[in-house]
Amino acid sequence: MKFLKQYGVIVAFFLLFIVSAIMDPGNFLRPENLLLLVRQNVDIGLIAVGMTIVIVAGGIDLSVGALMTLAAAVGLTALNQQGPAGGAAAVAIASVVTVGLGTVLGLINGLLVTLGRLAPFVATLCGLVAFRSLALVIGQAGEIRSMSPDLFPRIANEGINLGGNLKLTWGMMIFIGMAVIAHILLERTALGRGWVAVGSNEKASHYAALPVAKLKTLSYLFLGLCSGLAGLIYASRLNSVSTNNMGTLYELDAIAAVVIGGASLAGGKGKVINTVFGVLILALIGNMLVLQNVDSNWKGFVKGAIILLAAMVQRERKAS
Amino acid sequence: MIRWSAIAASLLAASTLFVGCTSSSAPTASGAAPAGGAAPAAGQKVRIGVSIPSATHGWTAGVNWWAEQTKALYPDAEITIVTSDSPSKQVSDIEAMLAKGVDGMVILATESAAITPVAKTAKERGVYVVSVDRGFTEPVADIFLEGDNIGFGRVAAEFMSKKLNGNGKVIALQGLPSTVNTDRLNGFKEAIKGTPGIQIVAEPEGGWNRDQAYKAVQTLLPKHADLAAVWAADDDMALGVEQALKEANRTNVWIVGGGGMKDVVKKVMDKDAMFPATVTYSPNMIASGIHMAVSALRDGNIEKKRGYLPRHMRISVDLVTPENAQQFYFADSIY
Repeated sequence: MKFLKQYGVIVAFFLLFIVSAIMDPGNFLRPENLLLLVRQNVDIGLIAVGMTIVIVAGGIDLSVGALMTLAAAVGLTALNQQGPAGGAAAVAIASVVTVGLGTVLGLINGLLVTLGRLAPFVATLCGLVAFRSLALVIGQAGEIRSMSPDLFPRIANEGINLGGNLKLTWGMMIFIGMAVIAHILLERTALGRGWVAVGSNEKASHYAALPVAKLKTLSYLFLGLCSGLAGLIYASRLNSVSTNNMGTLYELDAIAAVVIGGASLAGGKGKVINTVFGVLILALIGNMLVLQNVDSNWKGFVKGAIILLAAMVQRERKAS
Repeated sequence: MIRWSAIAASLLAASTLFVGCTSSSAPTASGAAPAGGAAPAAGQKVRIGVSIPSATHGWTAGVNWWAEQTKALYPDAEITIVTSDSPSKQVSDIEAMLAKGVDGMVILATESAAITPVAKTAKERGVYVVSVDRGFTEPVADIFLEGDNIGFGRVAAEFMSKKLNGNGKVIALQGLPSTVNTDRLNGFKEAIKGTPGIQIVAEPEGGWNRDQAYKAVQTLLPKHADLAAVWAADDDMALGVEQALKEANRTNVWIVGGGGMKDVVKKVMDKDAMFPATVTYSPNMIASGIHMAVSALRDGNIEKKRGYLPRHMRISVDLVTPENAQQFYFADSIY
């Protein structure tokens, strides 16, 4: 029972997995398809991992989708400024600019919440609209294309060959790496214990002489870093940034994954591994809806119902 | 009343000044203008309000770009462009422009039914109304320049049936659920029905964007090893399809999208085997609409001109092939 309560999402994932496998074994169980589940969701996954930390520390961040777009738009502009012959140096500059700007924007979110004493919902809602708007200005509301036709797309599309059509892409490795780092930070370090304490009871943490503002700011900074990485991988995947629709509603998918993973939106509770399975559940639903050719008007309903079920499997027992 | 019009005039002057600060080829402020009512007095600038959807994907970004281009083309007219991200926002934006005072309104409605009442109000106040792409549910527009979404699907389907010699499996990639999407998809499916040998094996959703289209087709490719072609309800999505096909080494599969995106037209022009043809649905229709409003309203005489202008025009959906692609290619457009 205790296992089910802590890791219910993993059970839910395997149940869904079995159902999918029975419904369409020929297509669903192809190794290629299973790898796609992760590969197509690396960006949402990275954001969800960072979002777990912010939510555990008692915050929320609605700006992530716009943030990754702005970071990637500036990054690609930097890449293109090196000219068509920029080569590896240009790609390195673009990567550093994208991830660095993501981190800085995360820091700004954190400072608005702590020093600015704004509710996280409000501070990051402003980011949601303002970051997007800046990206639109940079891209004239259209698409920014990279001038690196071969090298830049490799970040998301190349990797270690596993034989045949199968590839473990660099993007997938970055996602897995960041998930492991986030897991260790949250479960094994003083920083992680600080985040849990602040999220559970901010006042008590303050009286216990914990650096509350610093801890909260760091949680947003970490999410900014994750979002910057997500922006880099997205931009590399399509070798372009579409400033008007990149990352729209990513904040909701990321928050949904965290909630499916059983974290409490009130803060203080959540596990990175469970969030990863939350992402996989969303990925699996999306995959099955496409493979089964579900009428696109019904998709949202099916998705909503399955998320609801997953959340119900592992909700808290009512205190008796 | 006097005070209101004074406020409206000063707002107008302020906005003209603002435009003057931001654009390089700025017209000079024209002084106070009367609020409301068509047919400006001689010597005064024609005031045109342009209400269009926000740039949420490539095509609407194209609409925005063409609107700005047309504004630059007519420095002697006072053209105000406002973008709205939802029908309710569009209603309030149009109301605001009417309050400020315009002689003509060019409207590309986010939704037909929702915008009709405010268009009617505009008409009742004597504002000249040009409706572009999507019509109103009542005949309130002075000129309706209609886009043909059913034709968008039909023309593509006819080409595909012919190129497939009446046989083969295709994917029909749709956008987001909406009137435009339904019309295009139904137009496509209806026309395909005439060729029973062609089977639509899937109708995934590509959300009008490259990334979602890429992922949806990427997921479906292993399932359909004998796929012959993909129809995409929009050019943004067609590019996503191209990438998915290339990555999976399925370059024998070809694509027909549509919308008039310059990159896709270029590919057709360059005889790219994956893009044998495309269909037009050019965002420059907004430019045509603005042009009509300006030419109808400038130097007065609107009542007489009415007799010279049609009430309803439908913009044909043209099939773009390597032979005629040149005439649909606009090198400096952003879309």
